[in-house]
Amino acid sequence: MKNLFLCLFFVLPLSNFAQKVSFNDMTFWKNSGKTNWSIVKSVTVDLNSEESIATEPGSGVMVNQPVAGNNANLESILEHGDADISFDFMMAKHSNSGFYLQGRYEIQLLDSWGVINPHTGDCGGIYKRRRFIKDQNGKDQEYLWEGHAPRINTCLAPGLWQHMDIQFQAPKFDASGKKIANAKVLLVKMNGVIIQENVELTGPTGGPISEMEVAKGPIMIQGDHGKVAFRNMSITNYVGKKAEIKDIQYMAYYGTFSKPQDFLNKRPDKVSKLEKLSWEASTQPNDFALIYQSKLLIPESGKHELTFQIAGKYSVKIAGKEVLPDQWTHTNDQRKATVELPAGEVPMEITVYKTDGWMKPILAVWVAGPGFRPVPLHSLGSVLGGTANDPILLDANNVTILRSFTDIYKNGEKVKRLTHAVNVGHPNKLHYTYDLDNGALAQIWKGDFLDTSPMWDNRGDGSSRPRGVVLNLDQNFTIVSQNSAGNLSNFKTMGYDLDENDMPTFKYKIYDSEIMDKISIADNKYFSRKITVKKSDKSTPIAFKIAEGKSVKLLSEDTYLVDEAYYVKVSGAKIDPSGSNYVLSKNIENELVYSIIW
Amino acid sequence: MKKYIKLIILLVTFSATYAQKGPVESDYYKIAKIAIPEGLVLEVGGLVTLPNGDLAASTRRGEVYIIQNPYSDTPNFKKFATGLHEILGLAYHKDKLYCAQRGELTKLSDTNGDGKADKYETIASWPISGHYHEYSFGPKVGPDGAFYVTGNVGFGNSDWWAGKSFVPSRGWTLRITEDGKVEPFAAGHRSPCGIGMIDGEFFYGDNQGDWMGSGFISHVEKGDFFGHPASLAWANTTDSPVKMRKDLIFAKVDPRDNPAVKPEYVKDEPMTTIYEMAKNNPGLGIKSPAVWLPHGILGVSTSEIITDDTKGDFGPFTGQAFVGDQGMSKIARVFLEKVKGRYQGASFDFRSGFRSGVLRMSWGNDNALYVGGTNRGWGSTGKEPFSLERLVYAGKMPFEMKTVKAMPDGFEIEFTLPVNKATAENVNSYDVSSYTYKYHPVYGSPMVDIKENAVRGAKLAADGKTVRIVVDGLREGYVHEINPTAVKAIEDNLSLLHGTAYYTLNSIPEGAKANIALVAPKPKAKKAKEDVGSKVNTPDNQKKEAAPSAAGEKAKNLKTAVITDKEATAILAKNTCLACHKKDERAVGPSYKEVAARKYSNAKIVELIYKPQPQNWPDLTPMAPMINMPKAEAAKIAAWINSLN
Repeated sequence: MKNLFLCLFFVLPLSNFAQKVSFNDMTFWKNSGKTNWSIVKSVTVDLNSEESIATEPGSGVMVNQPVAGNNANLESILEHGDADISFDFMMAKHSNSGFYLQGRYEIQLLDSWGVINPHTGDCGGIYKRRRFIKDQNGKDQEYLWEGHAPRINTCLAPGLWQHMDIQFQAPKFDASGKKIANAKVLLVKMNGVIIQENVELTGPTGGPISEMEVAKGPIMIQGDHGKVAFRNMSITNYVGKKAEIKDIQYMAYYGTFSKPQDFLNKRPDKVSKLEKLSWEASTQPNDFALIYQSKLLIPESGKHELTFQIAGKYSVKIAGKEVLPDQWTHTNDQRKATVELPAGEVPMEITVYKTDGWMKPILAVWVAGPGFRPVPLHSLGSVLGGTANDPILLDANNVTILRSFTDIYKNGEKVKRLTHAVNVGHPNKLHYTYDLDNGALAQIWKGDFLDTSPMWDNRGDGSSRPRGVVLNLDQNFTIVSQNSAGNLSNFKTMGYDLDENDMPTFKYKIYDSEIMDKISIADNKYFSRKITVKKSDKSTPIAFKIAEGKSVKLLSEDTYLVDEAYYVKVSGAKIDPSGSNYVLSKNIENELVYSIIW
Repeated sequence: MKKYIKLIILLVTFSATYAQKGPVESDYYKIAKIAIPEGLVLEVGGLVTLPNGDLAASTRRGEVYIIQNPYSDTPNFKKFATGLHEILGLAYHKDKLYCAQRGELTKLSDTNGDGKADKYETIASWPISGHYHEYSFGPKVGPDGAFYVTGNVGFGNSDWWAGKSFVPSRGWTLRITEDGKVEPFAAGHRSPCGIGMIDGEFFYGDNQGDWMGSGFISHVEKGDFFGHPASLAWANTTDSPVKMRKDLIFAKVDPRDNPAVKPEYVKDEPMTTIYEMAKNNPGLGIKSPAVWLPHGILGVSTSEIITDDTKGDFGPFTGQAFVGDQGMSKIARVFLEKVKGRYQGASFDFRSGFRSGVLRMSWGNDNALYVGGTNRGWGSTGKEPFSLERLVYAGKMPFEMKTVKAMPDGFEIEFTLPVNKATAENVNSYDVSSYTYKYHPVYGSPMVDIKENAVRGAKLAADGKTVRIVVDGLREGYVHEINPTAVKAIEDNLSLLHGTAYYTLNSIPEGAKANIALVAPKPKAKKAKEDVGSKVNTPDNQKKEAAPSAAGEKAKNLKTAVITDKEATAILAKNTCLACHKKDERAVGPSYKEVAARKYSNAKIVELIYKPQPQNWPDLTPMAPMINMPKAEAAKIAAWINSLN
């Protein structure tokens, strides 16, 4: 059992104190004097023509449609320092824009769909710094340096909404105005994948509103390059003081306790004080109980979010009230409590006891509140439960197949574990998981292939994880049905054959048919799926469910948009309602070919 | 010239010293490493010899390699297949390789002749819940062409100690035909990594765990149940041949199924054994082990079972079985016989010292035994993460008990070499005791209900190698530990290379008693074995377990002098400590020097022997409480450990 759980994840909790930017009007922004930026209800991009956006009047989306002479950049009225910013954006085909933090540090926005090895100038890159040096003729020559390419290309196809999360730390200045700390991009997460982390910026990147760095500055979005749209923008501007912890006193009990009553009425083996919270108040990593009594120093009243990561069983009381009940959690598990707290001193009591010797001890507590980022209240040492494990990463430098358990996530939650999954990796960084139990394309992803450490390090748990942006196609189960309404009771997987490039063709039997299913990569950018049916009884038509979603929208004669998340290109398909969903399906005799564009 | 003389003297001295050590395993069986290319992670999960003499090895990382000419110093590794799901078995049948992935039986074909599989055909797929412990082992191919695959149980979440069968096939043997028909065949497995065919019959081995007192091997027949109740969740399904039901077990043994409390060993409680369960519930297919493999002595995690079909090329054990052990990096030997229609027999130590955990074995075309190993996540005495080795018979006859057969009034021991008649016919040359294992939800069992068995007669046959001994107090369902400690071979006055046979006496055979005048053996110093299950009435056998030895009680008060390394080794070996510990280097557990460095008091070390605190060594496999170790010996070892500082 030991070391079953391999990796400790210390993901800093994201703040939930964001303020939303309204896209009902342009009041968040300074008047640019131009009309290239406007508020609309929705936008649709033509996949086949460059710089083409169609809009529908209304509100909720901000779009930039520049033309020569009407192509102003956009600046916010709000000036931010340390801030978390997130937004959805959509690129027109071949379009280009940029999101400037404090008007000075650019996160590139670009249609980088299909780029295999992204550069600093690709979407999600931190643009290079730029200056002009006079050559011997006295002419300015552009000189570019620094810049930070995204770790992988996470860019989706034009016309799909993409998501960006940015955590930014402003440069710091002393009283005399001298810079004492560089600005930092703490994090850029694009489409759910971290592509930049803890990047120090020595100065403004190319094209800033000013080369002079400041404590606070406006957001600036480039408007002079191409068509782009935004929605769901929110900003958390951290202006306040941080909460602190003080007067930490603990009582330690040693023994194997199965419930709080086992030690609550005992005399503690030790009573003492701590500077910061730490499980190491216990002299042993197991068979202990600890009660920590402390005071939170809350600078400003309001909603606070506390995040706990404690190995063992624990409960938490704040201001005498239980906010988390006694419950067992693993080293890697977090629990959160959101509480209204008054300004001033607030007592917090944590009662923890641990008996599972195989589990690495940890005790971590973060607090976030109005105006401040989550701050740790624990010591650095309290989260060093054990040694780091070297990851075992599998790249697909050639077509690479690996079977494993595969966990399917929906909105960040694990919804199921596929137990007969085949992961297929391709050197152009588009990969997929095929579910042999259902003859289904379960998920696709772009980026790197697999992290196999969950399976190959130590005993492992038999699973591997995609390293990239994942599109869950799990709702597309039951690929095959007879008259659209069969079940899979006589489904039988038959395995797969490899072609000369090692790309597999999956085979299975269902009803009276033998199906061959080949998923290949077209134009280096998207998936093309070909399903061939060998029937013994030609009279029975077979319906293939191509996609299912809350919305399936026909964009052009053969192109559909599913859940605003991906395109399907197929001819002769139909859309039918199915419960609260819509199903895109096609009856076929011999062959079905369609594309998934994402 | 002078130099040469010196050298010769040195050599003579050296060989003299060497000779004094007495024969060791490597004098008779040599382990030779097979070179593996750098970067190739050959965590062997399956190993099979192809008709042309190439070896095929499957790995835990899901690859299959063809090892061409493994008989040379530079075998060629060719990657045949990749991307499979933790394949823990490989078979060759009708020109094709077959492997069990976690969730299916797969046939691998190279249709275009480039030496790489391009057809990965699912022969049969079975459900799996996705728990890490749900490994599948196999296949083994029966004489009728059917495939046998076994499945591990999973474990609970907060009750991570409790074996669970979340989906059908977990804890079962599946019999699968070539056309993909899956037949649930037998149930009650926990961790059935040990698989093999003996005389065309499917055998399986399990290892110590919940409901499994110790490791063993057993013959698997349709409808059998081997002890772990989790699998019985599916005993009611329409295609199940298994008659056993959970409630029959739980009526007898409290499953202590509480997700909050890990079942620990209870000293004074009524107990039963799997043998008693089988005996008292006839007709339900409950099968107690054919041969127990005493935990910590012959192994801790049973793996491949393979029959010696080398017709003597591999030494004197033709027809016997070898059983690998992953955790102890060793191979045990098993002699089987059928008494009253069912298998039983003796297990013996055979060969230790493999570089990694022994998982799979296959006979090469040179009649050497090829041994594939892995220890990732499981730990093993051999420290390499993986290995491929060749075990070669040196051609020199070891002095061993070749066979031990049950007799109506004792045993018949056949030695590999003619023995000294005086020693062989002296009853005081033998030391026999018997014990069994508890059947309960606790992880493993110590040896319980230990009794000395007096040897009352011994007679050497005309062949000079076979001795019939008459033993008092034979007990069916018990392991009989037979130590011909003072029997010597005529040649070089050798003592046995491995001094103990562990005979699982399921049935005492009928027949004529030995025609030997019975004598009383001289009283012997009482064995320093303490019975942990003491003071307990065992309702099933109505036998009172022996009281703790007076020696053990007295030892508490004795001042402990530091013993020599040699004495310590003897005690450590006897108490199976060496299964996991070495003096100088880390094995499954910490080295004794590392323990010494912790500077515990002697008393604390003794306490830790009986009640280990795994959290003290969070990176290592938790130690089992060694409640069976006599106090006096624990105290000696504690003092010895502290002397290592």
